[in-house]
Amino acid sequence: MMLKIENITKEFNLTGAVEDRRIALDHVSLDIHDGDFVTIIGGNGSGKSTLMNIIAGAFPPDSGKVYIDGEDVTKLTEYKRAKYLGRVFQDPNMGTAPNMSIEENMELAYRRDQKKTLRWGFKKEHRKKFIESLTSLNLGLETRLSQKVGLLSGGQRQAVTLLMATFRKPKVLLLDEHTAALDPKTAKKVLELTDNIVREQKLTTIMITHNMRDALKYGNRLIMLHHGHIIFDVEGEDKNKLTPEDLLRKFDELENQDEEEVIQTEEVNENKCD
Amino acid sequence: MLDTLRFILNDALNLGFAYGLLALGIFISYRLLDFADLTAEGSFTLGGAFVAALIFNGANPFLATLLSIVVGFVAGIITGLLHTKLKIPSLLSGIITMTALFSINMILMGIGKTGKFDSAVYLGNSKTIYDYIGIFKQKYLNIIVVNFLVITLATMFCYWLFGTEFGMSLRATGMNQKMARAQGINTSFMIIIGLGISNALISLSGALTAQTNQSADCNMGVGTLVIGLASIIVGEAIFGKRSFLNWIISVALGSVLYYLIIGIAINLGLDSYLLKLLYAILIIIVLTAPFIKKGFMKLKRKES
Amino acid sequence: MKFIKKIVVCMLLLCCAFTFTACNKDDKIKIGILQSATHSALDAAREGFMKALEDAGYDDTKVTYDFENPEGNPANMQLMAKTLVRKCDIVLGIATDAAVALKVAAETEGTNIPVLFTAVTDAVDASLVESNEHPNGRVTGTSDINPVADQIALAKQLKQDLKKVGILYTISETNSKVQADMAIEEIEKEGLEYLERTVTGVTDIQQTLKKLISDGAEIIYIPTDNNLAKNMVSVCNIANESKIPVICGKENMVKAGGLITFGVNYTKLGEMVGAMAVQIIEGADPKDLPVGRLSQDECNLVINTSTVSILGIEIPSEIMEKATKVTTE
Repeated sequence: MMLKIENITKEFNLTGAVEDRRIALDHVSLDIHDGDFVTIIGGNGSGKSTLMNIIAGAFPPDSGKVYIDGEDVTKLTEYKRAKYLGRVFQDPNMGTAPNMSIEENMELAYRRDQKKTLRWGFKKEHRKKFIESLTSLNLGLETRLSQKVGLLSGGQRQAVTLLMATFRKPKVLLLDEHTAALDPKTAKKVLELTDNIVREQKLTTIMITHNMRDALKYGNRLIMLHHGHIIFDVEGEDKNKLTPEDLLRKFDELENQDEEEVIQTEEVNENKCD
Repeated sequence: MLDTLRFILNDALNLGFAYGLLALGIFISYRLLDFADLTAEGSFTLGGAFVAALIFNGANPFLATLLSIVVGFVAGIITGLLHTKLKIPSLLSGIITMTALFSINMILMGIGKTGKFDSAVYLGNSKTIYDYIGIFKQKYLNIIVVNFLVITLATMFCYWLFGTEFGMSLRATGMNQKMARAQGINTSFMIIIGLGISNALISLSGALTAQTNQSADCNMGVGTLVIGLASIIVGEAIFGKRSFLNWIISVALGSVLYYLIIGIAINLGLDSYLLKLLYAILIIIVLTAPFIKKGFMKLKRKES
Repeated sequence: MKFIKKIVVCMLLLCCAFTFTACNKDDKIKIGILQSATHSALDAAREGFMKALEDAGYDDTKVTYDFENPEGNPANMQLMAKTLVRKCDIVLGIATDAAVALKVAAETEGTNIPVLFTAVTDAVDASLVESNEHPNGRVTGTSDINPVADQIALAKQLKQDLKKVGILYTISETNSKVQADMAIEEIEKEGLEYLERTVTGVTDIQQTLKKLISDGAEIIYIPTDNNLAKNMVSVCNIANESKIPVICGKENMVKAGGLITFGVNYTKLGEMVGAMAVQIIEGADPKDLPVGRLSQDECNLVINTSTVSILGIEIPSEIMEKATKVTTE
């Protein structure tokens, strides 16, 4: 079991007004096996980003545990957990340090699991490896190692971030809508890149996306979240059989359910007033 | 007239090198860590008060100067801890430390005197580090040599430090904390140590200044933050920041340029209340120079 | 290449700026004055200095003055001190920090220029001279040390059954602390109790003063403190409301509403150091000129009659006769 999420609950705004309190995740449990490529979909407020943040350690859950490769990491802070994880964020500016060169950024990624010592940060042996990986991207970046990352385009930055996330094989790769901010052509390229890398390195991957076609096209397992619950979990053949229309129908069902709930609550309140 | 030119150059080098340390320190917090650290005025005075108090009471000036680096480091760490562990906003953290340092500096300056505190220390004939360097006959030349050595060492140290794994992680923290943490960097630790180093340099600057002026007082830090920032801006604009080495040297030299400009202004007989207006105008010129240059080049192209 | 170009441009600019700095080729004596900040007492000292020189025959055919005023900015103070020390034949520092800056600049530049000072309370403590009687260096001047003993003696004269005297000053002003310490000594000599409180700036004046009053101070003594002098009006409003007389360190504080002072006449102090300058120009050695101070007769007893009516107290006739009377401005 590469990633085990056990009974995670997370609420926001506990101290605020009743209407503002949100249960982002409600006793969610999930087992992800080594080599799974899981795509996660869900409406706004379904809890997908919260789930990813909890796996990454950006904030702690209210209850429950997270295990990575058998180790309980629930109490580990974000930077201590980083050695197990590779992350690509939605915002292309988030994954790299803009004023540092590609080479410097990659050096940082290389040492993700190591202590930062006072040894000189640029290593010649690393350069060769960096050039190799950058070449495989086919973006011409291998000749621009000393260029500041801030000067690259969004798609190029995401590609570099992806490389940084996977350069030292992570136990789990977390992709948080990482193509949402790119134009369709670049998004496609980056997704193909993602798929190749995941396949080559056999990475356990979780990818959040709001594009249902992509959610079905990539990965071997699909999970749908709604109001902090996992309401749908298919893999293998069952997943391959699904079409985007099936998923849309599922969403409509859920919306109708929600509306009914709201109407019911209003009726109850009206009755109370009488 | 040539004499005047020589004097202005000497003053600019003398003050510029000492304040160059201040500029480097502020560079680390403002530019590299992206942390608006107001501790500077307090730690500059701390360095001065500390060294003056020790020398006044008979300590070895070299030792005192070295120790001033340590006290400055501690001051920076306190600000860092306030921000990272107690979650106090960065501006306020600096203000808190700076305010506390005011009292501490007063106590330091009272050591060896009849009260519990004092607001100034006059070193009179006590020996400072400059009295031990006898390369030239004139003292002011010796001061320039020593200050030059110190700023050069400091600049080299910074260049080396920020090229190490640790230094790179620190720079990454200043640029993008979230990404830094995702790369396994302990951002809290980086901020704390970074502020420590920054204030250590600022404190050293104060220590050298106090020994140059043979006095320390509770107001010696007033205005140093602005001087430091102005030096950085002027240095970057004139000398550029194409590479990290370029950048760091520009910052260190920025103070020299800054004091050159002020020296000229004073020697031109400018009334002191006009000096502030002069700085403002100069900074505008310096910052708009690139635009003017571009406009100029556009005109040239149109003609050809 | 670009880098070098920029340095060249800077150097050229410098040289251009230089063609405008005139070289003083005449034989007039150059006198440099470095005044710490703009302030009525310091201004008066400067004017007294210049008047004394003019009265002795050194008018503008014989001397030129170079004034610098850093308005409290420490770095500018240093630069200005150096400039003056190089250009001038004799320099005057008005206030302790200016005087110290000039002395240090003179030593660092290795010149032998005589350095005069005025409006410095304790020249020995500031390391300007070895002792007040034998300065023993190139530095001498006049001290504005207040007749603190006389000022405290006034307190007993104003209130026969006086028990507690309050002292208020700003913590960052060395001169104030010196006078406060002297005041404490005098108060204890008179067998009275003292209550000492300090402020750090403008913001804590009101509360500190009120606390001093509520702690039982019957009369308050405020030395020649720049910060409190600037804010004297609000200080006096509070004190006068509580009917507490304020004995001030200098005249302008009384004019702002304080009750009384045995004040140092800064103009006279300036004239004194001007006379020393004349002596030095005519050949005297600074180390032989002891630090001057005003005698009691040269201090002004000044009383504010408006304050007297507000406080509703009776002033002994000996004081009223001798004193210069002013009203609140």
